[in-house]
Amino acid sequence: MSRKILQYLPPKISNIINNLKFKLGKEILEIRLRVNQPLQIVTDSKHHYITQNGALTPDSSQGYCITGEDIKKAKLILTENSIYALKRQLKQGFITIPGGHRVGFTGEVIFENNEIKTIKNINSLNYRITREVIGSAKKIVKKIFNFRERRFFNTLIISPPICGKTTLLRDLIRIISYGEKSTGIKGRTVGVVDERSEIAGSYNGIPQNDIGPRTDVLDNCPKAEGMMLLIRSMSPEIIAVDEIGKKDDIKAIREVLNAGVTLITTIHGNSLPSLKLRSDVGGLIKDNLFQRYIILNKKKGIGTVEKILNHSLQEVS
Amino acid sequence: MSLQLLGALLILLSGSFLGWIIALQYLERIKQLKELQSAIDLFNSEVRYTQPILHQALARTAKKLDKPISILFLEAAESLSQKKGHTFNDIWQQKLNNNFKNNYLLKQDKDILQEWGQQIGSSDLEGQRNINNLTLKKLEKLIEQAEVEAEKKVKLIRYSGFLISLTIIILLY
Repeated sequence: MSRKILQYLPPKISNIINNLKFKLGKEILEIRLRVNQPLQIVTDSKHHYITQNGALTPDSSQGYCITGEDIKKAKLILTENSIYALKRQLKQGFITIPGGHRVGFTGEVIFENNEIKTIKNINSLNYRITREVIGSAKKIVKKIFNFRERRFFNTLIISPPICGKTTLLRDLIRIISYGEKSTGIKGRTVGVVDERSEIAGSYNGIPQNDIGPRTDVLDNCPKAEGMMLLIRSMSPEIIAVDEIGKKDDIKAIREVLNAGVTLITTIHGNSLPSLKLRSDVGGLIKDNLFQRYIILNKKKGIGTVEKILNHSLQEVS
Repeated sequence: MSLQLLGALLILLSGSFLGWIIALQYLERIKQLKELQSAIDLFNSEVRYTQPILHQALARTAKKLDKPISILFLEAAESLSQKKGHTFNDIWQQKLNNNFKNNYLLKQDKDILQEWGQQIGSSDLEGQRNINNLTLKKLEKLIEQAEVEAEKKVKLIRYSGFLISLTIIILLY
């Protein structure tokens, strides 16, 4: 599925990437196009510049220099030549393409009435390749399940960027939705608010990733409104959302938890103590609303689970 | 005698027919320019009100048009949905230059289509509306000019065909 991303690169760059020895989605995590700068890929361990012939080089002057024309073409291809139809995406700074890959961009921001109206004259594109690592959460599921009460704990996944939190969340959703026979955990109804189409990788509203048979996805929906909508209309047992942080999210989370629905969510951060100090999520942690914290790092590769803590911050074995 | 009469009749008919054919080109061009005008207008409404992806907007527009304009729009839509990784402008120029045959449009008419293709899909709704409106205005002007030209020339050419063939007959006999 990752190969599909080649269709969304300008033909010249698509050819160069296609000839690389690295595999898309396995080793390549990001493809970066910056105007007048060398073509760059990011793999698990480091950044590489790519020459015109598809060879890796540490020397930036040897890399294939991205032209303004390349960026312009990439923008047209990404938007399927329909920039007029993607007003919202151009405002939020990324476009999701089939397979749930997210392409972020920067450029000249048009700011009006205290909000970003659009981003024009794009100067930089970042193709973030989604990795569907099926089975990555298998060992974790039983640690976030309350066997006595037969329900999942409210869980917060904490991780710095590119440590695999969305990948882990996606796999957790899949396993929870299917159920895990070996541990006797039955499948449960999961509601997902997929604000950036990253979890389900929806294209035209239809999930492209395997997220299980009991999962309902609200695609492209703001988290706070989405969580409330799911509770009202889809009676989920578990709600899963990615990257919480806004004030509205926190308010909605409290309502979700009051409604007796289990919440599994993620947040950018390095450690629990630093999160406790934050004005937004700090309150949730202090009020013991989460019973499990999964802390990720990339010391032994992306998606390394550093530790899983319970509400009294003791490690769960 | 009857053979001579038949010959004269043939010359008269073919001369008039030739005049009629040449004059027809002026009238057909107007018809096709008007069809183009409807095409851009319909496309403009599609984009404005339903905001579909470009190839869908082109295909929907094509359904409401007559040949050969409908074929141009449909082929562009099909290529665009199949060939990922290509810009609309690349596909449109290629269709316009290589596949758009059997029409009465002149270079200046196709130039307008070329310019239109360079900007379609590459701006926001407001931008698209401006491009479509500008193209409609340019087409309007061309239609006006073409109608004035047709007014002057169609009858003249038709009479000329008839009169030239009559002159040939007189000279021959």
